[in-house]
Amino acid sequence: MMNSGTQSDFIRIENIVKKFGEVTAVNNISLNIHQGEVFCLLGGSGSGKSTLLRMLAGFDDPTEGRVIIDGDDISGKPPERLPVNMMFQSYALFPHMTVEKNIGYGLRRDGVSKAETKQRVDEILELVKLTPFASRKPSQLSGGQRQRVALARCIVKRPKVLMLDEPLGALDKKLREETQQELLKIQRDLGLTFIVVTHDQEEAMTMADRIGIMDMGQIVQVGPPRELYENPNSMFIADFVGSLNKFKGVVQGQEGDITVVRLSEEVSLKIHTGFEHNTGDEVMLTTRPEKLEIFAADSDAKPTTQNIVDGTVAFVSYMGEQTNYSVDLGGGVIVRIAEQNHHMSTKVSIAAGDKVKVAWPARASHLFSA
Amino acid sequence: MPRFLKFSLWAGFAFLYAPIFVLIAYSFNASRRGSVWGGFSTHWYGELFRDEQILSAAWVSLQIGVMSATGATILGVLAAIGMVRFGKFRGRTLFAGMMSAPLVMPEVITGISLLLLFISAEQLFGWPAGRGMMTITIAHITFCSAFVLVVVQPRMATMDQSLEEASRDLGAGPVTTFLLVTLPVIFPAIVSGWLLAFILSFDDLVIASFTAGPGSTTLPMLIFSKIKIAVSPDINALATIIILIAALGLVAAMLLSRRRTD
Repeated sequence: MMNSGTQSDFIRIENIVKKFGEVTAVNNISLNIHQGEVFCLLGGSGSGKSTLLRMLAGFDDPTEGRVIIDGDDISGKPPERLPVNMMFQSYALFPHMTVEKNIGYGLRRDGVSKAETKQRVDEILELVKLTPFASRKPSQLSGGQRQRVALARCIVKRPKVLMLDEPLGALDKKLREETQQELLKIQRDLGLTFIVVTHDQEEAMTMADRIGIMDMGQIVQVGPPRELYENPNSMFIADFVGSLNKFKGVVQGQEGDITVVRLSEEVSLKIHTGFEHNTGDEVMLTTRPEKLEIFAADSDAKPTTQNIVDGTVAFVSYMGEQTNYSVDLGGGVIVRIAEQNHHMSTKVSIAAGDKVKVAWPARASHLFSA
Repeated sequence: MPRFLKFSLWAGFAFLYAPIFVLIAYSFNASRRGSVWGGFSTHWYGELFRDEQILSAAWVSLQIGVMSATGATILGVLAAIGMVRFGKFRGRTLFAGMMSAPLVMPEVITGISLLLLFISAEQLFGWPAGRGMMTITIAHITFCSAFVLVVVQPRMATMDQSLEEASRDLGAGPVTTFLLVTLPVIFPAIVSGWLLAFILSFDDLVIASFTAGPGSTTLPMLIFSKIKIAVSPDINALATIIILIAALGLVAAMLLSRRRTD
């Protein structure tokens, strides 16, 4: 079913702008989406991600710019004439039709014969494991089953692109993980191109091949999840994805690759960012909690990181799979550290008030201009 | 003070329904004189169904009711679509006001104005020729469509708009979407709107009196003219039947508008 190879410009979004009166919802976005990939648009409410999706699906016309899907300019075409389908956040299942009728709806509208519709609907029902529910109404299904009907209703049409608006938003946590994997398996098996809109960064990180992070109607950074997490190009991205320690600091000097940043009277850190920084610059220093390691002050361990900072534990919270520590490094610098609780861990005895050492690798931090 | 509350409840019910129950009781009165109880009898019901005049008036009312309810439903649904689906068009507030004005317009004024309209229209274009069932039906459509709008509009406004979008997305044009998705979803509201319009039309005396012509006497008009002479017991029987029909219609309309589709 899948075309050979991946087209890197299967969907071309060119300088697209959408204004509602005076408000600019989408502000000059250009983006290429590859065939067969899962692309996630991640952003908060009002970031313009849903507006962009609605334009791709043909519900809204762009004020400026155009969208080209597989070589066809879709601008100005009504949604029923586009080779894309959308899975709505509310699923939008037709309440008066059975599961079977819901799934067959799109095929019948395309003029597919009754017999072929029946056959293709049966195939898809099998695929999403809903065969026993074919003659039920949507109101007689559970949330997860409704989600699968909504998915089946789209993929039965073999769309070039499937848009998913917060696909897992209405499911509870346990069901989400399961559904996510099923969704990706179907995507891979059928070679579909997915565009997923979500505000949930965890959902985006686990599903996407690439993520485009949106803010104020613009795409701030595009890249694979790992790149966004490890190398955010702005303070906004660093803060938006994952949890983060943020400190105000001043650049003290540059020694080769190493930048020395002073966070307080007591705390100065050696940082390796791959860039040179000007002495005296005010910066924001960021570090992910799991990049740091905590040791009891009297521990025999000899960490080899460039920075080993003394501190006092202010707070410990046991989270099950990990433990979070807040460590006061002095001068008002409080750092959060997350450690996995593997069964050999010797750190169970660390408690609030204990003196500790924090191992802080030079490459674990990023600097942004304050 | 639950006892006081209970008492008020029953007092309220009595105030509302005692007259109706008295009427129903008297419809089974064997006595010819309306004010004296002469024992139980269904005599007047039999009498009723032998009265050609009443039967033909009932038939007229039924036809007018069905036609005007249908016409009002079509107009009311179209108005609801305009109000809900076309956003903030120019003159929307005016349109909303104009559509719902018949709800508060005194019937006498609606009646007179329609009568004048029919007369001058006849003089100008020769249509409608004379007054009869046609003019009553038109008159009923004008005020009933406002009630249909009131019933259908909220249903349409609360309908998940992504249902229509999903239909478009799956390849249906706007007309197919309306017929296959929108209409079935708002159908319960349409049916209860129709029933409400039918009952309003069936009950109406004032507007019908203004716009009626020879041979188009409706049931309420006939009843009114009969009781001007004397309250004959068969009218009680007729009224009981009408109450029963109206009650059934209202209950059906209520059940339908309450029924959820999801």
